Amino acid sequence: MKADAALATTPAVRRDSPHAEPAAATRPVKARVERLSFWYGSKQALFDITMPIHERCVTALIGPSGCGKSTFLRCFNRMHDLYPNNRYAGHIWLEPEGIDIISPKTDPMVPRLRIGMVFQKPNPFPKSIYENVAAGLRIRGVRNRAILDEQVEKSLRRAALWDEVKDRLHASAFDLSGGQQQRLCIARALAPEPEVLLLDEPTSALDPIATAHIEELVDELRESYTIVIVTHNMQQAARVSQFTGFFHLGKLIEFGETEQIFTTPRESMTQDYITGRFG
Amino acid sequence: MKSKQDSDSHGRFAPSSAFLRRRALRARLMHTLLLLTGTLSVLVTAGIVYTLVRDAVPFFAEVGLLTFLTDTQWTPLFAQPRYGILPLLAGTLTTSLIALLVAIPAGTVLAIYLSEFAQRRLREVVKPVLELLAGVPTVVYGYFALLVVTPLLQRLIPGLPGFNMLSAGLVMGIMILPYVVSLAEDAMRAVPDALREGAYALGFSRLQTAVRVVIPGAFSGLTAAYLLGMARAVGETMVVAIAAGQNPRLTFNPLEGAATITTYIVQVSLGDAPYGSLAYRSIFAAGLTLFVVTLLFNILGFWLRRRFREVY
Ligand SMILES: Nc1ncnc2c1ncn2[C@@H]1O[C@H](COP(=O)(O)OP(=O)(O)O)[C@@H](O)[C@H]1O
Ligand SMILES: [Mg+2]
Repeated sequence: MKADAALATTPAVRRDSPHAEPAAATRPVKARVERLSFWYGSKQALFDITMPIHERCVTALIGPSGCGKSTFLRCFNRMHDLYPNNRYAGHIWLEPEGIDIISPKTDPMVPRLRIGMVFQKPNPFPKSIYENVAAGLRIRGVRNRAILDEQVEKSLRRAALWDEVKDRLHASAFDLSGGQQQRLCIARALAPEPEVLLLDEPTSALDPIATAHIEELVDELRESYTIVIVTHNMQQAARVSQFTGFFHLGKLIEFGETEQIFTTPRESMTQDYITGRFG
Repeated sequence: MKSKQDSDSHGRFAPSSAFLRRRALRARLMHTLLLLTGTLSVLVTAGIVYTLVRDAVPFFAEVGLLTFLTDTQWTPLFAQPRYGILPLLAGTLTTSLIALLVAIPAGTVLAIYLSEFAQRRLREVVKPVLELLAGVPTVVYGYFALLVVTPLLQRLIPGLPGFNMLSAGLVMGIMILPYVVSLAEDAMRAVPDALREGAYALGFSRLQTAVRVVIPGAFSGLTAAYLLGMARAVGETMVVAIAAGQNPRLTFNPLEGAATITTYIVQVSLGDAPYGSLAYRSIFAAGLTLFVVTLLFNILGFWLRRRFREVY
């Protein structure tokens, strides 16, 4: 049985708030994390985490630095497989098929081809701007020049980078500034139109204007994508997300609708964190 | 007590002027030391070039640069000596090219395997073994070419002469392979993992990550690896002297034997060309040619690195 019942427990929805979308919590679930634990060698970094990722919603992960947000996010595309001695336990069911992402029987390529990721530090490839954005399409077998051109432009526009680079698409990605590189990485992740987008503190290297662009983008993208965003900026979490999970020392302390987490948290620890009393 | 303004302008941990003087002195000392070592290495290089040029200049004065570069015969020890570098240059380039055709593809593939596919434990065993192989004396490789590889090739290619550039080039390729693998692997290891993660997250396979991201990311290190391999091949002496023969012949056919620039240099150095004679001086002209060839390849490498530079 997939712990549907446990996951479906809906936190109290405050219908009077302008923020909460009606019945947001009853939206279909894109992925369900079930009793997930994770170890770096012998060091346990995640403890028995269970939470849903709602489809076409933004789920924010907040918590003090070192609490396991990145570790958690990197389970979704099996990034931990790249290094030896890492171990997962539990399940992450990717819906609608119910593929268990972290099962050793699942080819890590399956989730990676369906789930895109943007890292905390920009990591463009040593190629041109154009080829960076086209890379994901090319390895999915897209050869048609017109489709590539169209998708590259669309992705760069969405990442609020098009106007700055449209005249030098074939220049090296390394010629861009840090903030531009990060937006390029966002465009690169968007180009293959993944079902889920993982964002690990995507704006921590950006200036306020670029950050605002990205936040707008995230809000826009939720029409068609499921987004999980790690942020240490609580205002950002409140602005862009519909659901929030609060992590502490590798445990999920509280999960609920963003509105509820930020106004009436059930756990005192959440309350302390969002009011800035620790972390 | 100090006034407020005083403590503001100096602060609690403001260094004393004696401390600052010592620090400045240390900095000047280090600067001078570095300048000296730098100058020394430049002087050594200049000394080498001077030695070459000193005897090459009277040679060119007598033979003429144009003759040297265009004559198709190299027969310094004949009664009617001819001094055309082309036959020796052809021998050097042919054997080096064969060596690079072996070492670059094989070296790159092995480096990709070691850097991107092999378990760490295997890598820790293979790397020292490679470095050991790089330490085998070249004369051993020379006899390996002459006594093992040539007879094998003769079975495949009937009529292949005992001295041929193919065998020498192949073995020279094997000889510089560990070198190229080791340097290429270092270059690929130096590519940050963040780049690999970006590729895997996008759905790249291991091979795609290696070929499309790691190799372009390691471009300048790889160029350096290939260039050093090339420099070793061009300067290699024993293998070609033993396996390719010592007969200067203007040919690019790997199935023939031919002398290279280095072969000629040892041949004459071991013989009894009188000091100051034209034959003696021809060694330096040949050496200078070798120097220029290596320099040209280095400039090419420098240009390539600038053209395809990567910054992290
Ligand atoms: N590669 C690793 N090996 C061992 N421990 C790690 C590794 N990466 C992270 N950790 C540890 O796991 C915990 C969670 O880290 P992380 O997920 O990066 O936290 P966050 O993203 O919330 O700041 C931290 O205690 C960190 O030290
Ligand atoms: Mg993190």
